[in-house]
Amino acid sequence: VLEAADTACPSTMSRLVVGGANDVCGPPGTATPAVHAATLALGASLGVAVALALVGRVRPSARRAGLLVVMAALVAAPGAHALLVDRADAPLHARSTAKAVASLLDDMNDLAASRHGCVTEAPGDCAACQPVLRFVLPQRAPCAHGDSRRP
Amino acid sequence: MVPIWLAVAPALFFAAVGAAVDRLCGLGLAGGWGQWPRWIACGAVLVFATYLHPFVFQLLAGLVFLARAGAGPSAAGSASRASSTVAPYVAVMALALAAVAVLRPAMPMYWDAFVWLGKARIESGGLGDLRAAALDPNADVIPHGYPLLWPLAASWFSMLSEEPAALVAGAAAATLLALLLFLDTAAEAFEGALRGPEGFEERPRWAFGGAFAVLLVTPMFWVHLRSAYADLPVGLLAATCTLRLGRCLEEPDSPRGDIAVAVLAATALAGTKDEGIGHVTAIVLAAVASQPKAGRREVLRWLAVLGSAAIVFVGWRALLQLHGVVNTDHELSAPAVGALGAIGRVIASSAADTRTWGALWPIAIAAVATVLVRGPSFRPATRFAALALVGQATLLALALVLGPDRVRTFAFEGTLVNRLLVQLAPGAGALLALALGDAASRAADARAISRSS
Repeated sequence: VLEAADTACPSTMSRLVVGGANDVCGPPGTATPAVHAATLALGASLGVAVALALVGRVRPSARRAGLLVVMAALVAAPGAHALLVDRADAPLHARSTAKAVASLLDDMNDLAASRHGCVTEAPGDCAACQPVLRFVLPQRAPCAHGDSRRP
Repeated sequence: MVPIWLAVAPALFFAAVGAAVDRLCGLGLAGGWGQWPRWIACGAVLVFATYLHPFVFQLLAGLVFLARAGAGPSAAGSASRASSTVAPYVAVMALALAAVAVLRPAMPMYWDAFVWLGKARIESGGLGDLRAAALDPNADVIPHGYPLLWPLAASWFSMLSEEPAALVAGAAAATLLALLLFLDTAAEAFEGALRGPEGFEERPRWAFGGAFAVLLVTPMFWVHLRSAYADLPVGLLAATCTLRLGRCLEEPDSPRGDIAVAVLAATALAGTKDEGIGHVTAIVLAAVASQPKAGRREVLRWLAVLGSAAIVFVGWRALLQLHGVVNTDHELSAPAVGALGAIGRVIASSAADTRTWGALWPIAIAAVATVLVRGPSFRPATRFAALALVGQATLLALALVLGPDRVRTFAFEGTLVNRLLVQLAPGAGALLALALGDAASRAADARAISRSS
């Protein structure tokens, strides 16, 4: 998987597995400040515009609703770019990421089989391995000999 | 591509169960294309209740009669009109969103997807296996004590498969079911009562399309639509419950189908995540606040909705306690008053993240504030939806304050707050549609718009 232009985005399989559904491209502090400030200001002004329309100061119409959608799409454009280009689950990268996940699943399956299901999570070793291991061994029996090993 | 066709046979089975129960009990679920998701949801929820414990099913059946009593004398009407003016919008949205959910690699890719689908794999080992494992204190099923409906749905809709692709399809089918229930309900709620309140004309269709387009250009919505997470379905079910109860405010004499769908949504909410009971409580409290002079029928409706969620929530917790299993993640603790500022900052920072949320929250906050401040300018159902959304947000924030330290750690590390906001997003989109529609349909304003266009 290629490194994305926006390095805060989850652009590798491992980073996608760990934090891909928590946000679109990392915490707001990692965004380009000027872009974040501009989109936030535009979003806030859209909020004011909607409030004015709802109280009747601005007459709502189909054309203005269309304009609202276009402006909202503009605010969301950096996130949409991340979804469509930067992230490891973007259309162009999704297939290779899925293959990488499948390969990790196979590795975890092999590991679990070789250790007879006696495997313990070790935080910090391989972050992406932990959830995959839970999929492979959702219900782990206690190790008979007390020798639980790390993935 | 996700093998969604695996879900067809289970969906037909649940629809048959739901249709039979609908016919026998006169729930009013039939009518329009929306009868299919309503029947499937009805069948799935009833099978789930029985799966948990036959006693849970019996209590739910008792609530059906309570709901019928709350529906009033002219309860023969169905939950749907014969034709809908916003049907083209709904059809386009449903097809587009289904395409987004299905046209992706059939492989779990995010942390919790592996965890949820791992639990689903236990059930796929044999019907009832997940319940047995979850109630076994010696079985290392992580996280302990969570409600079971979401992994069960993924397993059942995948035809009890253990393959990752099939389980992803099962979760996608369950997500699409919640989405269709929501879209059906949103269209019904937007069209409102056959005879609208005095001072309002029919809401224009463009308000529906515009408001939902604002929701659909939200990047986080797309991420969760393509995941096997339960947060988006929880949000869709909560909004469905709110909108159906809102319809009862506008059509108090014929709400049988609305009450039935609200009860189904509430039951599914409590069965899917622990936050579900919080959403239902907030929605029912908002209904109570919206109708301070409520009569016996209204009280019966609220009891039916809250009771159905409470039966599943309390029933499951009782089973956990009987078997000595502790849900440590969601145990209440002493209020973390010292963390209030940090919690407020992390919520504000998450909602202001335009890469994740676009302009959804500034617009939604403006809509909620305007509806609550200028109440009489909006229909009762719109005011109720705004109040319910505020209540839901408040209860979720309280969960961060009153939950264990672990919950706040997740929030501060950035893994929780956005997912809680996902649970509010569908309700925010629906509120925007209702409020925008009300603003354009206020009788005097609507005539002025008509003259100028």
